[in-house]
Amino acid sequence: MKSIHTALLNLLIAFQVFIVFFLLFESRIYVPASLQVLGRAHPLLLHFPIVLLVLAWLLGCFGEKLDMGQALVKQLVYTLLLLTAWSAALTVVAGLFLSKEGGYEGPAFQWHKWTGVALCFLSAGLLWYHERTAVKRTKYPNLFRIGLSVLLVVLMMAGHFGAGLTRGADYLFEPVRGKKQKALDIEMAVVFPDLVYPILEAKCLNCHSPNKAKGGLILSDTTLMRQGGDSGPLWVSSSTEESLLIQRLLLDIGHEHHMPPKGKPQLTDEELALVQAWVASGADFEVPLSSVPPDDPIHRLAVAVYGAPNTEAYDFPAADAGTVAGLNSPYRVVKPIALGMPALTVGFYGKTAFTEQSLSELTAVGLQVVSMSLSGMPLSEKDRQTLGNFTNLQELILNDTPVDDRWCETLAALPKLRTISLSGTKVTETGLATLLALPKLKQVYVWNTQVGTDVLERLQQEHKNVTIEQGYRDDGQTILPLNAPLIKPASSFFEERATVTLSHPVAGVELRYTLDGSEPDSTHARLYKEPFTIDAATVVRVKGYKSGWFSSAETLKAFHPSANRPDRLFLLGPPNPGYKGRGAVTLVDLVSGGDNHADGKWLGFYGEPMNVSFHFDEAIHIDTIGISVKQQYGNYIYPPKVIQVWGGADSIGARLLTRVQPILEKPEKAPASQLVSIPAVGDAIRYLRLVVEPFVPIPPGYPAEGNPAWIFVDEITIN
Amino acid sequence: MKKDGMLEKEVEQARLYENRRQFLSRLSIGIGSAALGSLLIPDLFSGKGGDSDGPAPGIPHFAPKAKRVIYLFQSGGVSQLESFDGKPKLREMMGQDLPESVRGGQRLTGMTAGQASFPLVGSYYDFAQYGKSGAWVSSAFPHMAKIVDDLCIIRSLHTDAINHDPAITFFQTGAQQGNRPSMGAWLSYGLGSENQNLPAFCVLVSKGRGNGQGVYAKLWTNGFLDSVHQGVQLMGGPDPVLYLGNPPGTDKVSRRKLFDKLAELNLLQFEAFGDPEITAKVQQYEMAYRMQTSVPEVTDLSKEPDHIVKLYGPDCLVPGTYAANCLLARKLSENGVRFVQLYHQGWDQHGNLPNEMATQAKDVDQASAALVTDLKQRGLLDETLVIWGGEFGRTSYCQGRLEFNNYGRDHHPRCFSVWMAGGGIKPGIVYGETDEFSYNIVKDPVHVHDFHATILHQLGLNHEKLTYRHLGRRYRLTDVAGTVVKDILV
Repeated sequence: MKSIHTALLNLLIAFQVFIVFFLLFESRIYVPASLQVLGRAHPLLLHFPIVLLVLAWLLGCFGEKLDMGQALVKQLVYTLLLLTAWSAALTVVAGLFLSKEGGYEGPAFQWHKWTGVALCFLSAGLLWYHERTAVKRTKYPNLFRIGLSVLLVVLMMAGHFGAGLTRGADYLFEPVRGKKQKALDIEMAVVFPDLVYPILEAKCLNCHSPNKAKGGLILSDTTLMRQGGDSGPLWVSSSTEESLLIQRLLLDIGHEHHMPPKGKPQLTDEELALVQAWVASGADFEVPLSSVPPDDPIHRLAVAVYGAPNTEAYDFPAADAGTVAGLNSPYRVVKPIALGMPALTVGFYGKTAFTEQSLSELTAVGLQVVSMSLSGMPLSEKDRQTLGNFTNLQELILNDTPVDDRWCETLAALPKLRTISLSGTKVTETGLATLLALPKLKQVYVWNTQVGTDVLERLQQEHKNVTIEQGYRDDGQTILPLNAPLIKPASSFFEERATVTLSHPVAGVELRYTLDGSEPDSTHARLYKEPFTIDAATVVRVKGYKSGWFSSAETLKAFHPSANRPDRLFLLGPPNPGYKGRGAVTLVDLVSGGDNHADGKWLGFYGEPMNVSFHFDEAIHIDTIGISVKQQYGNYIYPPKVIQVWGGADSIGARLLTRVQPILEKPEKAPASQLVSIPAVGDAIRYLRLVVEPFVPIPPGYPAEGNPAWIFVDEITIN
Repeated sequence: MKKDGMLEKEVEQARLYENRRQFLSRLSIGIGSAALGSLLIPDLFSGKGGDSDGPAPGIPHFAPKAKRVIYLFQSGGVSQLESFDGKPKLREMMGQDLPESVRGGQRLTGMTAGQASFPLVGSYYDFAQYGKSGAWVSSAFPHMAKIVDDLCIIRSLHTDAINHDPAITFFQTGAQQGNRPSMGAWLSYGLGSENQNLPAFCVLVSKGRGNGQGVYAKLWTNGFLDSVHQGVQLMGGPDPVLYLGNPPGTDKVSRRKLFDKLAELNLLQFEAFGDPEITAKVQQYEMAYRMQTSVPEVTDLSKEPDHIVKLYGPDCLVPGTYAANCLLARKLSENGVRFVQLYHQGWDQHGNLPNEMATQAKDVDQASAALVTDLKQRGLLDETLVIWGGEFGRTSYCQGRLEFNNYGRDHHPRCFSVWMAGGGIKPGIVYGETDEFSYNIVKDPVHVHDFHATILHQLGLNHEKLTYRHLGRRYRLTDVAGTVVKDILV
């Protein structure tokens, strides 16, 4: 017996240590399935501490009045307390496990948890006090009795909060306070009976019912309500100012005629506003909430008074998870719309993978599919019949499918459809009219179908509850400029000849071009039909024209031949390490540099000259040399200041052929790049050297003046 | 089996992992240790062994409003003062200093911290009210102005960062430092892919003509999530997805055989190592194979009818432009891509703002509005959440030279404007308010974390429950903050 007692005490301590541990590391603890069973025993276990503690309290407080030995009473109290502490600890442990299953949060839960924990530790404390002090007195000290009573209060609190968790917070006092309105089904609700009447019922009917009929007014019957009371009808028009009902509700609370009278439950602000909005909307007794526009205050207030509509409840069972998983493929996705919901959503992808069975295989879950996208799929007649099986469909996307009016008849038999997208199908007015008979239809999308605009407007007038979306139509009034045509090849340089291709991203655009530098207008300029060849320096200018559009901006591109390419070339000084391209060959690779001078197609030199030599195995005659440079003054990139051209039979015999100073345009006039053309006539040239010097410093009046300039060169042409 | 040195080390490691697991399993033989062990290691008995304690990936926590997101990110920081948050007071006070009480010691970037004064500057563009909602929009955005009744304009977004990289990283990943999964990766992880023939997370980048800031792959990283959730960038040009085509001389059949054999080998390796990255790789190869058909189908814009070209503007047929990316975004989204992330660069107007704003706005205005209209007419806007906005706003005071038609604005994190459309967000509303300097928020602030929480909420995900265990703790997109902005939900 003694050993059991010791074991019980030790285990009690162990449990308490565990509880402390659990509370400290709660967020990092996981409860495996095996221990969840213990957790779920919490509702069973909790009854033990309740009964045991009540008994201990009775005996502890009133036991001495009983006709039995005090020693026995104390023995009993001790045993009861020990069992209380023990069962409380066990209950708390189970409760903590249960709480980890999820779904328990909020203030009520926190209260329940901590009162429970408090009960567990307080009972153990009291047990200790009992052994240390109380038991030695002849009578229990008052402190012990107070302790027992506190424990009882804590127990009641824990019990009350716990009951609130399972039965709802209002469970206990519900019979006294009256039952709250059940959650509102926004879809089915009718404004008066579901929204307005409950307010009257709660706040007015006490007096204005057939039993009392104060002021001759009875609100429990719509006919009698329309008649009004002794002071007249409740409203005459939709004006809230003239409405007696609203006037009385709005009077100052101290006023003799204020309703409800002072001291009775008053309408909340939202309720008052809802009644006002209803009167203002014409005090209709039958209008359903679904036909009230969503931006109407009634909608907003309905949510404020009755809470947001619950997530949709589905009245069909979930499909077998294995079946659902088996229906998935890379081309067909079947998934529950959310965790734990029976409703499925289906998407089809890849029209080449769509076969005759793709849709029909889904009839196994026909009941569960509420949303489906068949957009772009090559649907067949058989699919139309299959679709009729999906009776719970709410959303259906059929854009760009061979769907026509006969499909609409099939769809009209799916009573729950709310949203149908038919954009890009052959549906006509007849089909649309069939669909509009669907009772729950909210939106139908008929952009890019056979339904005419005038028909749409008429149907929209007739069906105000449904949004018929017709989308963007090109009315011919919007005229946009075409974007610029494209010229290929991308590079401006060619060796002997180049084939030029013109194109425009928009189909059917007429391209007019010139090669003589004149403006490419829509009448005189050549019409582009096929690629053409150029063999000399040419400026290609092109513009696009198309009816229904403004003409495009012009695209201009200069092409430069580079007929004499050196057999070898060397840079006599290195370029800047950040812009060294592919070395010297960059200068004769016939590749234009891009907008970004770090693209590896430009050679860059900062404050130092570019010094490059060209070697020809056979002597050539030179007329012109072109140096293609970038200009971006803001970034210190300037044309060269001076270019020296040296030439001859070899490096020793080379003489200065010419020395030119390129034009330095003003910043606002400088083009992004230019080909500096140098007339450098020379015969029997086998060696050529170019010294291209940058501005050091940049001259006054130009951006970054006083600093050394960059030069960037992408190509050198020799002809 | 002979192994080379490098492999040997990895095999050893794999064994060590196994030993640790065995040790823990043995530890748990005793009843007490079983309880303790299973409390500390959740999946010890279930045999799942995964690190994740998030939801079963692929299914929303609750019924979602939106299925997909298209995020039109305006990189660089669009000025709210020239777009959606017009402040007449700034024109009146042109050139006067920003009152110190308004700035309230706000830290400044290195670019204006040294300025002697902070002269206020009003918008170069006029504002007018549009639509039934009467939202104010600047004259730089005429097309967006026409669809304001479909938009929810939030003028009270605010962020923690003041520079591009941390700010954009914060927007994308919920943390300023990087290496966390991007929003698209989180969604791919939480909701799975709709169309398994395309990546669940696609990225499209376009360059603007204004002063730009880089965008780079770390912004669409999967972070510590499985690599299958990484964003895939589609390029403008003949080869939208790099290395997708068959190499010269290879046909579809031999490619298929190659993948099959490769998968066999990979699975052998997986059996030896158990590294989940290996199966991820097998899946990626398979998807790449299917993408050989699906990507050309989606990226072919040549079949778009004329009226669509007019709707988006003719640039939509020029690959790599913002307009083309918008059109492509619609097509990707229509084909079940969960998250399409666009970036348009060039919104960093430290100087020359009126001019650059005009060209930037011209490049994005029509196509952004067209995307909303196009989704709407196809019945897809309800299930697609479209977001337009940058990483922060710009200051109401001028940076650098101040003229009526030439001024600059520095970065401003305390308030800026974005808009959302579709996906269960209330259309035709303007949410939040800033003071008359558009410097501080006076009503309904929305932090980036709140913004993320709201986006996840619309997709049926509880931002507090979408977690992933990594380095011993659970991570969320919203870190430890974030409140769903219920006021803007339908």
